[in-house]
Amino acid sequence: MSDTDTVWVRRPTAAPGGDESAPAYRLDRAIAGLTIGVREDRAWRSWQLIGDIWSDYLRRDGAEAITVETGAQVGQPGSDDRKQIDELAAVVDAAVVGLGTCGSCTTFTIKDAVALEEHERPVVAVVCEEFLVHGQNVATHLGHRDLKILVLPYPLEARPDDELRAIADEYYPKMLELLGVSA
Amino acid sequence: MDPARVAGAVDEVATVLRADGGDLILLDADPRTDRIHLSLVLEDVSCQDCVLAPDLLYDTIEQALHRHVDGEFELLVDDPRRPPA
Amino acid sequence: MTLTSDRVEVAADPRRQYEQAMAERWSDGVPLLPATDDAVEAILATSPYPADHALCVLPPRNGVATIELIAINAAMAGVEPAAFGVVVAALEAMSEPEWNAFGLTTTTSSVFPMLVVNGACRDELGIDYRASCMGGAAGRGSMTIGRAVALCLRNIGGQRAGETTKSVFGQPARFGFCFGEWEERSPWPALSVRRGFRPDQNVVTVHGGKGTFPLADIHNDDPRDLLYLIAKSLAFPLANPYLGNPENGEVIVAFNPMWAERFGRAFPDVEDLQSYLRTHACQPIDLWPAANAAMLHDRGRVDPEGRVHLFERPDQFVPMVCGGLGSLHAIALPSFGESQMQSKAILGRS
Repeated sequence: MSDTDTVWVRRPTAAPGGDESAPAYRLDRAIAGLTIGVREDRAWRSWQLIGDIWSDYLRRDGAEAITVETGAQVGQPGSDDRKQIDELAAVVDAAVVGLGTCGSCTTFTIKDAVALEEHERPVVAVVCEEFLVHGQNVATHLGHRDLKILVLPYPLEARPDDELRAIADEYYPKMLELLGVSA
Repeated sequence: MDPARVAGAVDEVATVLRADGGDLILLDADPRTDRIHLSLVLEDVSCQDCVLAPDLLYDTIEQALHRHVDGEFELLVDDPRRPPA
Repeated sequence: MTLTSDRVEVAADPRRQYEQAMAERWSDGVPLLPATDDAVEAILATSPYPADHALCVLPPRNGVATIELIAINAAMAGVEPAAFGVVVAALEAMSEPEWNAFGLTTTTSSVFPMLVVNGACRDELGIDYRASCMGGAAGRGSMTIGRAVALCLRNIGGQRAGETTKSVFGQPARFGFCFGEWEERSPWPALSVRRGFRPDQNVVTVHGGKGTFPLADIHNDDPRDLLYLIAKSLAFPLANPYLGNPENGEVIVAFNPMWAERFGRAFPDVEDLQSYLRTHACQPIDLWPAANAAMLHDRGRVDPEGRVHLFERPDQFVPMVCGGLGSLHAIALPSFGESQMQSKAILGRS
């Protein structure tokens, strides 16, 4: 065998999915009078607190807030959670979905956000910084490259409540901006 | 596990026992379970104490098997000098 | 046969081929065999599916896994043509929604598909189920089938450490993990039979396992005492089922044949053994510090006696028999939680 001998082989890779991007939506109106869904996750106490604070702020600002809680990916609990998201899509004008702060929970945050976007709802997925690229990849390969993602600091879970409240305050306007809320 | 090789190993030990009137019978060598089941026959032995003690006999059989059989096996020896398990 | 995948010219020298495969990012870090047309076609010839059949979509990048692409990866792994059906069946199993491939291929967890094979094909294909069956026995089927599945996830699914998978540690099984059940040494029906298949069928079961968790005892021959200790070991406080839903997931508990015999005498009905495990796989709530205990209370996980059970149901404990005759050991394959094991008949070999 010489240094120049070659052999032909077949490439083992596939092109990634998600060449096309489904449309993303914006509210382009004030928040008052609207119904906004907030999807919390049973696993993340930090996000439950932030979600609850944002729900209070939404009500203060004249919107109605509906909070749902998910936490499962498979089995009956998983089916129930996905059904809950579909039902939420039918009754809200927009939604905030979190929290992506681990691998699979980021995946399912994006999946649930995409499900809402497929119902033509403006939606913001909330993902912690460490998992942003992962979240963007999942959104892209689900065909929703333009899904809006709000990035929160990482790690979040073990922070004390006063820090979480400060984060909720700081990021609430950013969340509204991504939803396309106008003054 | 090759049953023919097991039989060869058993015969090696049985030959020694036969000199004293005893015998070692291969009841089963199952390659699906890797179990080798033998029976020690001492009915025609005039002096049972002269036959190797149970533990020593077991070790002797096991060593003979390891010389002929590759891999692991579970050895069961029905020895009339011992109560059944 | 017309293959449609791109052709790539590589060096014939195996060392330069290795470097090229690494540069192309096809490789898992270990030398591969060249996926020449001859090698791929020999594998495709054994499949009842046409080469362009889209078997499934593999996450995380949702690459379409055609039979041809799977065969290319199998050829690279060294899968013999007769074993290709196991690779295909494993990928089919992983594509069932309840296996949760999307979650498992992206998580921070170490979880990876662990393949358990039943049927006569174990011996025919070199799938290890005796001594060192989970690593070291070097059966061709065991070492190549699991690897082919791993290469498919890498090359078709686009699973790349630190990029599309967030697995913090990975685990050795990410090279590929495939072993068999020693059905003939089991006092209970084979795993595949318990999962609804005929005894004469060749079946692969894919479990989302976080690793191999070794258990050992040299002091206690009483089967109930030993099983009690195994149950307590399974319910380690940082086990995934304590983080999420106790209804989801399974743990495989592999007994060596000597222990299996002992357990079989004490629990001739495997469901009784599973119930016993479920009853005792628990810990007192006091074991956990306040922050963790509060979460377990909030989720209703603490029973009236102050115990937190690992799983909801006995059938989530999945016993099987394999391993060598040295006794003394069992191995658990702990659960990721949000995944249900899936089984498929191996097509063409059932």
